[in-house]
Amino acid sequence: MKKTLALILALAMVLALAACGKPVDNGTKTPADGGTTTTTPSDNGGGTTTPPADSGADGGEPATPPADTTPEPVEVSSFSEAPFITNLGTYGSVEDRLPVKDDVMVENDSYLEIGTYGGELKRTASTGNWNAGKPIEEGLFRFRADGTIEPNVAKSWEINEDSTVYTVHLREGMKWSDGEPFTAEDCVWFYNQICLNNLDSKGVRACHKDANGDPAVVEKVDDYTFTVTFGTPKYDFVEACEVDIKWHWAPKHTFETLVNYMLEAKNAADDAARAEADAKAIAEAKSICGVEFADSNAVGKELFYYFWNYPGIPTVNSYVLSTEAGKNSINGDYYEYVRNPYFWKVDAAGNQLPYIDKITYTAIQNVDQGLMLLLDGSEDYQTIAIDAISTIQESANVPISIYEWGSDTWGSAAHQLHFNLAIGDEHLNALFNNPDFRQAVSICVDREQFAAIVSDGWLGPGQAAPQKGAMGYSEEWSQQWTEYDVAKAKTLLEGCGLVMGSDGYYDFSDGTDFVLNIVAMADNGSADTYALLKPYYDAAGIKTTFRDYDRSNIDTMTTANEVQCMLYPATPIGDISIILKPNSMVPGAATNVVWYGTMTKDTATGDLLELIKLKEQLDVTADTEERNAIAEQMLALHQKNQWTIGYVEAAPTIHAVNSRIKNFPAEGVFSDIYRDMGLAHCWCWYIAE
Amino acid sequence: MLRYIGKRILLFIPTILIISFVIFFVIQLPPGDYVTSYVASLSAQGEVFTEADIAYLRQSFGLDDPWYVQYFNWMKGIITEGNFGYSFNYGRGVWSVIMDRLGLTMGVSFVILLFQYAVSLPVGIYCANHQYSAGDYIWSFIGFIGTATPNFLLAILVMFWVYKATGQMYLGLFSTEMMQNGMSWQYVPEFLGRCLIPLFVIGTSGTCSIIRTVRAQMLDEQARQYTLTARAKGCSEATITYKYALRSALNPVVSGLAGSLNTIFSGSTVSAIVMNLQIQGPVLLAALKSQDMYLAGTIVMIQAVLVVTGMLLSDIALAWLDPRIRFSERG
Repeated sequence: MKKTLALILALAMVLALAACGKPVDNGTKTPADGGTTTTTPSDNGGGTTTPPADSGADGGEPATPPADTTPEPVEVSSFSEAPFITNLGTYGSVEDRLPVKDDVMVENDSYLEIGTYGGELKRTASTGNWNAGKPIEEGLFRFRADGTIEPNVAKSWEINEDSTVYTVHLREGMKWSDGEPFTAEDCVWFYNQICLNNLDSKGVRACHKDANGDPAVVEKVDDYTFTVTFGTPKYDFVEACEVDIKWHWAPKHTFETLVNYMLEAKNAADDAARAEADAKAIAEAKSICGVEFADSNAVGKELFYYFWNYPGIPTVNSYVLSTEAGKNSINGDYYEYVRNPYFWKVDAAGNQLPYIDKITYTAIQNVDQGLMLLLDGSEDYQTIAIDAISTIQESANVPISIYEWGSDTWGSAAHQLHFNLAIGDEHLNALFNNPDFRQAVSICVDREQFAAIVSDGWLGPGQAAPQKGAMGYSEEWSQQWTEYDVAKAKTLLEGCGLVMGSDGYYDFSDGTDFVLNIVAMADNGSADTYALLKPYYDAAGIKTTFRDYDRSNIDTMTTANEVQCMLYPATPIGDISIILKPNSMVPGAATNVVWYGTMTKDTATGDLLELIKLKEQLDVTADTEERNAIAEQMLALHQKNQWTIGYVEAAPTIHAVNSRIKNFPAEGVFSDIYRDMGLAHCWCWYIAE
Repeated sequence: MLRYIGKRILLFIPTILIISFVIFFVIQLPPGDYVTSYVASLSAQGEVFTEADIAYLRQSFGLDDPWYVQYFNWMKGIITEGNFGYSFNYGRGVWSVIMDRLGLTMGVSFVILLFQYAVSLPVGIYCANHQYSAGDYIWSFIGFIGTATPNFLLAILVMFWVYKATGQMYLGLFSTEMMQNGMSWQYVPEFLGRCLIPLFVIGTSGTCSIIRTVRAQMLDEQARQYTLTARAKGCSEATITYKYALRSALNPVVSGLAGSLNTIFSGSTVSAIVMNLQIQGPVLLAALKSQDMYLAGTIVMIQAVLVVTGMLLSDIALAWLDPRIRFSERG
């Protein structure tokens, strides 16, 4: 009997193993050697769009947007609206809801087709906040994919001769999503009441400060014009506004009472008065959005800053959070953003946007579940990891289109290595600040092999350098220190004063052990990456350790200057442009950037100090050409010093889009500055079933 | 008996207080606090924070006090106002967050519990009565597989097979349509269908131990003299099994119920995350990860209360079920 049991058990285990390990063989496309990342959608994906491949010899570089993307203006003679709104019958005519005819914004990029109305865009979310906010965010101005800036909520703007006064013109007749007029008063009131009094927890943003750090003066000229006046010349208000603050308004008609209570609480003479005003603010906030906040600080931060996360708050976005119970909480299991009937953009044929009636969000626990829902058509859009492409090819039950956008990091963020140049330990500080050491760590790795393994062949070797299409790109830089030469690496290390010890690893010249303690964030694959890197470091005589931590611990350690060296840093180096967002590239510009750590102008030396000084010079330079020249000098310093090391070229951002969704731009750049997928202008998407 | 129960209930209070203290201490133990993880999560989405922003956040969340002051204020709120504090993650009272998912969690867990007992009791009895039969082996085999396979893995496999077979990804208990339109009778069949995978995955994990316990106990009892006597007197096998042997055999099963109360409240965690179930477990995990400490603290504390209550209830149930315990207590 026991034998029978053993047999049954063995059989069952074999069966179970066979089921688990069954190889998938359905002609999966394997990435080509050159690392081209364009992929054909699944076999059953009839009618899918494949973006043009950018598969040069170096392969897989981010798509470079064509230079002349600015569309020709079109004349729209009449307007029409979604049947959804017509059927509601409560909104009056579309002409009354749009701005005056000449001020209506027409979306007519060349890739856009005239769409059809209706349907819902199904999305998933493991977190609310920006995930839902960025795609629908509207700024005073907006970036195009080529980095130029164009009007958006602002119809136009003028700058006076010495760049101290910016005059912004709004769209006449534009309305909030509740139908109230949107005027300069909302913009001025927002700045004067909310920003200057720091009611939204962000206070006066850098874009509103002049060279002395003094806040600008914002004044209303008429209902559709306001001015922003600086004490000293301000050369980048428009771009900085789009990077720092984006929106420049709050619905005064909704928030005026609330703001008065909050100011009352802020300026209260004693605790009792403060508590009373606080209570009034909380009650008022609850009457606006139905949420009870802990105190008026929370009210301000949530309602004025994260406004799209709360129901009942008028916005000028294409979609607004539903006010219906069960659909109106971003912490809920399901919520939806419904079309704004007063949205002020139309397509080239005069159809009021957006086309799709609503965006629905289903809560998930992690992104993999989103991928699962994408496969069976329960989700329409997600950005995916590059290796998930094959999952989609193998298992999707619905046609899914893959679009490849450029990324803004310098090389692949996952394979960047940052040395803390401000580390307290003298030995390490000297070593990290020695370019020869960084070069040794760079060239001791066989990038070809490493890149092929870590990316399953999708990506090629690279360096932490701007990618093609980004400011500062040069082929020379992107191949700097990328040759594989262990002997040279050892010579360089010895040149740094390291001495080979008896254990086969280098020691400091005073005999103490040199150990490179590498940290990384947990759960992002860095442990595997390190396992691949370690043999190379060992071969070069560099002793390393590795430990991964939760992200919050990493941030605490970074702030405390305890991180020595980080793989896949929390804030990778690189962005679209060092002028627009220098945070990760200039010491002192942000917290939590490992490579410059706690370094400031006072502690920086040499080229690092030079870099900081150039940034300061940039801030007070008016002329665009001069500014670009300074930026190039800054990037040249980066190239010369290669303060951070990268091993793999930047992975493109992969958008997986259900093929029923049309008007998704095939080319673009995924960058926070451009609001991530915001550049895809989801209000122009439509559904073709 | 009443005095005994009273004494036990009085002992509750210091136990819970000590537990709450330990919980709070442990939750705040990792470096950083809610603000750290909050800032980390938002800066991962591209938001930029300065040191001043962070200090301001810390102050507005009341996290600039030392942890024991936070603990004291929290306990004070609970005892004097019944206020369990504020969930940073959800931006509202802890109690309302817990209440959100309580009904569904209890429903799901209770059904799973019923499933476990409904399956394993008869199977256990059958296996005992048919020891070493093919049926005994098959059931034991299935039970062991259920226990030996980690739930989350089983969940992934089952979801994958179901997806391959039906083309539908059954993730979560509600379809998007249900959540859009609210629950109504027309969705009941689909809802029940969606319950099958969790029921199977989580249910099978617990059945094996119950089957084995019941089987072993029943076999023990069947060898006892009183069983022999009953059989000699001509009692039917059904009477012997259900009236005599089973009642004795149930003791350890009933003691096992003590832990179930807590399970019913929180539901399983890892499987719930894998299957995207809208129950309490994932909320607790998320709260612990982000150091949303009042929420995490309250959930863990309620669990502790339930464990303690469960112990008491199972003691009482045992006394009721087994006269021997009753009499020894009286004696």
